[in-house]
Amino acid sequence: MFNRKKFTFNKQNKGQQVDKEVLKPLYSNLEKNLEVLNFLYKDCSDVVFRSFVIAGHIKAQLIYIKGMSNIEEIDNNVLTPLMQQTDQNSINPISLIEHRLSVAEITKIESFDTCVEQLSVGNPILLLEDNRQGYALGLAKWEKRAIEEPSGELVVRGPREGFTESVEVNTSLLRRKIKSPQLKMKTLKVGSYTQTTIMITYIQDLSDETLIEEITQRIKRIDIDGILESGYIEELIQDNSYSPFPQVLVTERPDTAVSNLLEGRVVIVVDGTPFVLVAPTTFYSLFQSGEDYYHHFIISTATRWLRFLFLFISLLLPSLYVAVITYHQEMVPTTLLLTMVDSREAIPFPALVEALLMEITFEGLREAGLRLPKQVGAAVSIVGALVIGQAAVAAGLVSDPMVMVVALTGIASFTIPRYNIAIPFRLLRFPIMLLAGTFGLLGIMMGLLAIIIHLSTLRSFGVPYLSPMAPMKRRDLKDTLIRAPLWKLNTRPHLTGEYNKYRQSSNQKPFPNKNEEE
Amino acid sequence: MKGLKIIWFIGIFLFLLTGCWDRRETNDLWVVTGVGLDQTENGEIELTVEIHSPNRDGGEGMGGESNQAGGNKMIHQTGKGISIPKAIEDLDTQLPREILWSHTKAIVINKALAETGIREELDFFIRHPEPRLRSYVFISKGSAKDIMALLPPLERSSSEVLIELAKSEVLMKVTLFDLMEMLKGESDAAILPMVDKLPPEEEEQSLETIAYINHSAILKNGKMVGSIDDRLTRGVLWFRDEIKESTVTIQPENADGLISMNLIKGTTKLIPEIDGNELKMTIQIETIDDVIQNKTDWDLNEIEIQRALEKELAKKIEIRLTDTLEIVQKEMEVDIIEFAEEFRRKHPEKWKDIKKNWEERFPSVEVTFDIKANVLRTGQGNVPW
Amino acid sequence: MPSIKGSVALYTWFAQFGIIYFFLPYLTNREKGMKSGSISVLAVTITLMLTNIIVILVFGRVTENFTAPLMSATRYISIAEFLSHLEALVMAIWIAGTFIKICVFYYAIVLGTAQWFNLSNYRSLVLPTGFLIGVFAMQAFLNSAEASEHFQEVSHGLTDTLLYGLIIPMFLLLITYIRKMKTFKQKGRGGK
Repeated sequence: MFNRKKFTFNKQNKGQQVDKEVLKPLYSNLEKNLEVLNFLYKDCSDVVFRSFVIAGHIKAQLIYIKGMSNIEEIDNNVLTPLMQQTDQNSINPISLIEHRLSVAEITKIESFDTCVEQLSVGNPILLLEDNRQGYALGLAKWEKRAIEEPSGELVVRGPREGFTESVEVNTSLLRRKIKSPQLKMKTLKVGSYTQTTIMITYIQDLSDETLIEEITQRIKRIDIDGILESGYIEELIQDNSYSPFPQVLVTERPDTAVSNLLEGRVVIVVDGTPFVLVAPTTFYSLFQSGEDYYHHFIISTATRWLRFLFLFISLLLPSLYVAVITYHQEMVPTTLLLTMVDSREAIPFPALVEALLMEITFEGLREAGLRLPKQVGAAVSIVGALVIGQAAVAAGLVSDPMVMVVALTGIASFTIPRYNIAIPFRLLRFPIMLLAGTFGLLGIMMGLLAIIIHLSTLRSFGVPYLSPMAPMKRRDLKDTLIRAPLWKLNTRPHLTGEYNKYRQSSNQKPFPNKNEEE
Repeated sequence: MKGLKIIWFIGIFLFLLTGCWDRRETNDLWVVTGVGLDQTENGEIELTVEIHSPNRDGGEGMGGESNQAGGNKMIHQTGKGISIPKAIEDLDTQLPREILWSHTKAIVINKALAETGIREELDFFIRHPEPRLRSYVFISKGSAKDIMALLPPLERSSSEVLIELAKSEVLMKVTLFDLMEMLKGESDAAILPMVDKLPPEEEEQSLETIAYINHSAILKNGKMVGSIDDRLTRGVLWFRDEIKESTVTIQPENADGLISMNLIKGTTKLIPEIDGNELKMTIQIETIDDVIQNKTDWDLNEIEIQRALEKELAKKIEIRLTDTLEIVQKEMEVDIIEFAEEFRRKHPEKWKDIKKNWEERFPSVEVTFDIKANVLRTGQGNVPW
Repeated sequence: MPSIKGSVALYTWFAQFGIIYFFLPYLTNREKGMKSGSISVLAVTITLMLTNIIVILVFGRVTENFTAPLMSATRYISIAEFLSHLEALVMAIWIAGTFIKICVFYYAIVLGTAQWFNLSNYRSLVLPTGFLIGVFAMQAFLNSAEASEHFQEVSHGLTDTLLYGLIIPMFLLLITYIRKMKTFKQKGRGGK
């Protein structure tokens, strides 16, 4: 089931003796084996050692970890059949196991490290007297969350299932969607203590071999004590660590992951988190929602345009307001300007300070609303609405138009389907606001130029971040600013190297059968 | 490497500190919505600005009470000087805030000033980066200051009234840019709307009225030489192919009563012709009208009567145009109907000669009319009752 | 004829395409260089033509009264009373364009100088050249009259276009030709 990677403790640790013991093969002497295991699991009260006698005369030992193995099944399928008395005096314990153990998955163990590995995933270990082999029984069972709708990526139309914390469940979700055996999953273990399972999933012949090799290498290079979430992996394998822009797509939805697999990308599933990583990714794919492909293409295209519009609003609106109100008053229609002048008259701050104040308050409220328990969260949002809405205006701290600007910006930043691409834009809003406050529209232009230059230098696993816009790949434009009809999406986006270009035959446009009447 | 970083930081800070130099918070601005230019007796220029006074309670501005019907939100300030910039300088000393010119949409020039010439003064509004080319220019019969100082009962300010009036295009509508174009044109003539105070209702205060456009000022070489009334202004509009709204009322010869018609579309073509030494101009007009009132006993649905009506309409327009020509061409001798431009376009070579003494030759241009009037609809009620 | 005469002075922009020689050696695909170059010349021509047409259509005979007619034309924009006075946007686009242009020229200067002095890395020249650019930006033309006189007198008419667009490239071509001849001869001798 698992790829065998040698279990080693962190070299810097003092556990050198442990290290030595662990690499040894099992002894034939049960006592001696138990001694080593007892030493390894010293002070581990959750590890259960159960000694019993097989068929009346072979001493045996069952070891498992409480809460990780199915005790009922151990009772019914392991202990009960094995402990039955038999008439035969000399029985072969190995054949006994083969005959009597009604367990689906049995793995033979020959060394202590595999023994530890199997125990830690919940498989009980059976050790026999005078036998150099142990048996790991596939009876792992622990409490896990049921498959639920991913709360971070809600859709109106589309499957309601989401990944869970268990890597087995997640890979099974993928396998359920892609039935072809060409769906490959490579397992790696990362984290010297956590030994977290990481699955590199891809479809053979669709993904570039060198890309898979590169990703594997980058993950193998990681030497860290623990991986708790896919964010660790993301940060340790991305191309430019200093960029605020995500270079890996994160999703909780199996359908999104599968659609990316079908485009030749690689999905990295990390045990213990419902968030899987998709690499390589481009700027535009971060603005696609899985739902785009389930709705009519005209509607999806319109939605995409809406998203880009609101992206600009979330990035630029406060800056534009500041720039216009402090430098370019001539751009505002006269009537509107007079109203703005009226409402700004009693405000003690410059527009820039006003904008910063409000935006920071808003971000603070948002953060507070996220972290607080749900019951308190409602209270916070009421207070927030009051603070941002009326009280601040009534107190003469901010003007009415500013409230409007902040509210719009807030809404705008929530229209972006992926949280991780919304964050950098929300962050970059502040420096651009400062630029707008010092240089007006020219400052905004400078800020935008800097962002665009930065974006165009980024690469995600060798794929230019802004592709297919820069470098221009005309064929791939059909799924960026617009979403072409499905019967037009004939080719896969080009990522790196060789790729399997055609994804469907070119005559997919539905048409009524003209010969129907005959 | 570290040194470079320090240089970078210093550079960035210096760079950022240079900003803000033309930062203007709205709290430090007076938004000028209209300008009035007067000439004082000793030849100085008196500049009146109409400033929007920010509502002090703006912070709470949720109630409707901030929109107190009318004008007391406008402030009027006057500065004097030998030129506009001098007058502005004088104004600046009186105003605690900076003036924002970019929302100046109405420029009212006093008749006396216009008579001495406006070309030089307008240069300020064109050269200064803030004022708009789209601002409307007016000539006032009385003092421009008085026009600005009006407190119109409906609109926010008197400049807004003027702007709306100009936009309605009943009479002349001239923006700063149009004026530039006219002053630069071949004929050196310009026509501007002329405003006057509407006499206030008896019980109202004397200031609570509006200015309205009733005349058009005629300028030659940037100097005002006279004015024409609204009827003739429409005539000029016909010539300039700018007619947008017009109601024509005719009294047919063999009928008893009046028929009024509303203009739907009117196009004018000037066709110049040089016949030896003679300059000729054919005015080709095509117009479509609707009947809006019929006081006669004519049944307008009869084709014969419709023909007669159309003939009457054409005649009426021709009379108006000849009247206009009489004043503009023969009396004032100002080419505001832009014959010069037409001649230049059609005969660019010959024009060079004609241009030299255009002023003398303009009154002698022979004008013929070719008016085609169509009555398109006769309204919903058809037979007179 | 007068229109051709008038357009000659405007042709200095074409001389600026001379900057392309500096980038030719860095192209990965030289075959496409010609094509891209032609496309960019075409694009610039069309843009210039469009702006001229826009300005003339909007302003007609008044055009000559403005120092920056396109900007005045954008100031004249008024769409539905709401979008008006958009010159700040035009300025912003100009700034972005100028930024890129300065970048390109800056790079060419620095790179060229570095190669001229046989420096291993052009980076050491970036900062001093930047200072020089800063100083020249301030001091080259002290006022707008000086600038306009410069463009009238120094780079009058076709001088710039001919110098950068014709003479220098021809000169370079000649040098390459001579050099090639030389190496060819040497090779020829070596062959013997």
